[in-house]
Amino acid sequence: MRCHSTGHAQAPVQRRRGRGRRASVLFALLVFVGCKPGAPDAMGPGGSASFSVAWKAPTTSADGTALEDLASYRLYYSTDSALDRSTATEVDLGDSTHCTVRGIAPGTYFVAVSAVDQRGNESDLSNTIRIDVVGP
Amino acid sequence: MRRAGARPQPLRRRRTRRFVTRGFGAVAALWIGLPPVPASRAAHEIQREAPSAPRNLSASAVSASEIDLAWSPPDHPKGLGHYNVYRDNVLVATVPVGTTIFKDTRLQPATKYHYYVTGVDLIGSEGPASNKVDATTLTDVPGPPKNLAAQAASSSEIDLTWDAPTSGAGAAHYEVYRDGSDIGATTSTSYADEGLSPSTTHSYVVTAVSSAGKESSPSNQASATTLTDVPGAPQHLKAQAASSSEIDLTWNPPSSGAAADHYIVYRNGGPVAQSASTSYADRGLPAATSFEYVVTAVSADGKEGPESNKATATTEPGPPGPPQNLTAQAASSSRIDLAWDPPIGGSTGIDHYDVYRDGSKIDSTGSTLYADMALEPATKYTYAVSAVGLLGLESPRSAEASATTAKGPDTSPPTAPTALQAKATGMSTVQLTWSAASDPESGIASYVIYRDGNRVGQVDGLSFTDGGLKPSSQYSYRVSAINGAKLEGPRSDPATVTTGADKLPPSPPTDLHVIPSGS
Repeated sequence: MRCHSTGHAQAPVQRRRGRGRRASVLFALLVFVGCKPGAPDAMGPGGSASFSVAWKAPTTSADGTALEDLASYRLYYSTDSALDRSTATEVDLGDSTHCTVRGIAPGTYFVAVSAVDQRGNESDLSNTIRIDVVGP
Repeated sequence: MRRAGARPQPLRRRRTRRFVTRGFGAVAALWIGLPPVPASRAAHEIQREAPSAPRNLSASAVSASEIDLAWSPPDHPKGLGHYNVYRDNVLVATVPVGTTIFKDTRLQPATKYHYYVTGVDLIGSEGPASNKVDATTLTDVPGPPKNLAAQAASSSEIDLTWDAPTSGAGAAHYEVYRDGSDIGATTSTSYADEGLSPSTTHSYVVTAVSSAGKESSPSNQASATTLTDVPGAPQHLKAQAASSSEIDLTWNPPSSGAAADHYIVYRNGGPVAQSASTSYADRGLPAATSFEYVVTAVSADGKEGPESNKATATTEPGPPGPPQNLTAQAASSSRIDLAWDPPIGGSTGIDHYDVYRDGSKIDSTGSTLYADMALEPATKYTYAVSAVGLLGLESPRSAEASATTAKGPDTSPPTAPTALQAKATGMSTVQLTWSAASDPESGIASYVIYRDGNRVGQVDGLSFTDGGLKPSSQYSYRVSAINGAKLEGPRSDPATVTTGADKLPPSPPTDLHVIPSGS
């Protein structure tokens, strides 16, 4: 139901390494507050840059029947143009159709999303887009 | 007899009286009816005819303070006027003529006195002294009591008797001394000294005490020893074999010491019985075995006397006595260990022992230990043993002893689980539940799950979730139980289930695009 990134916990630790544990916990709380429905955010592994994407929800299953149990989305991004689910950074999202990924280094990223139904069946990836992220 | 010392006094006194009679002699003569004589002549004649000495003076002490004197008149008592009595040469009394006794009183006791008597004529001329006698006043102290005798009356009493003193003052009472200490007084001539310890010797003396409180010298000393409170040794113990297992004892009561309340019989140094009578039958003995006995007597207050003479007897030939103190102890689920002691009298003459289980002879052994093997688990067995003598004669069997073998290992598998139910929880998972199996020996340790005959899991509880299945597929499950001995029971009845239908994933999202930053 909220933006989630595997880099969530690592990013503040790296950035606040010299400031102590209490400051790290406080920062993590701020991130969670930021990741509430309607304002999906995701934290990258490090850096001060970000990007935001949006997509359209599917309405059918792969066999063309009406989709009635859409549960969530997954976002994949990588600096490799051949975006592969097994190597890309995976972010489990809620059912919102847009998300902002923060805390990444400036550079060129390739991004795609998939849909997951309530049984855990995941769709194929959407179209892949290229994003050139610059620093703030 | 100190005549030389006695003479001057009467002479001087005679001179004085002579002077006196010169003036009054005629008057005195007239007064007593004698013919008057010229004063000068009379004085001459009286002096010339002074009385001769009294005779046969005797003195006898009659008490501690009195000596009685008696004498005879002089040969020529003519003109005798009175007698002078001298004690220790001092004039102590004047006795008129005609009286020839004198009781000298208020004397000191036990004191020797010296007496003589003189005659004095009418005109005062004193004649010579009589014979002189000594006498000694009696003592005021009683003599010692005589013939003191002491005799033990019991273990705590010695009785004394004595005779009254035959000399000295009369005895008003007696003081009794034991070992030098005054222990009592009595007016009689006997005394019972009580509260003494047994077998102790005491010596006694007795004194007599006069009514004036004068105590005599001690009597002869007499000693006695209180009687013992321990019985003497029983007499004439005899032992005689009565059979192959019995020896009869008889004896006589002790001839000295305290009375025997009962007797203790010792066999080979150890006590085996008490007997109130003077006989005992020692039974249960091994055959052809020699035993030595002694008997002691015990008083009513528990004092045991010395041992009697020893008496030995040998039981007649025969089988041994039964083994003693058989014990049986389970050592495992299949073994019981037996142990016992030899018959009374020891293992002498024992060839071997026979072992009986539940009434049947199972083995023989030369030792007093036996291990019975290959028994059923959790089963009670009862044993007895007998001793077999060198002649092959078997003793009666010992007292029985029982033991129960330990529970054996669990060799029976548990029951099968029941009420197995299988329910598809998706297109790839199945949930199984069942009711418990049972195993009374070792309990249920776990359950094994089979899918279509293949083992797919093992759990401790009563449910299992099978995963990784194909959609819309039928599977058959069975469950079995494993007990604490790792034995697996039979499998349950099968439960069949069909997984849920397959379903395709959603179509992928479309129109992924970047939202321009800052928009």
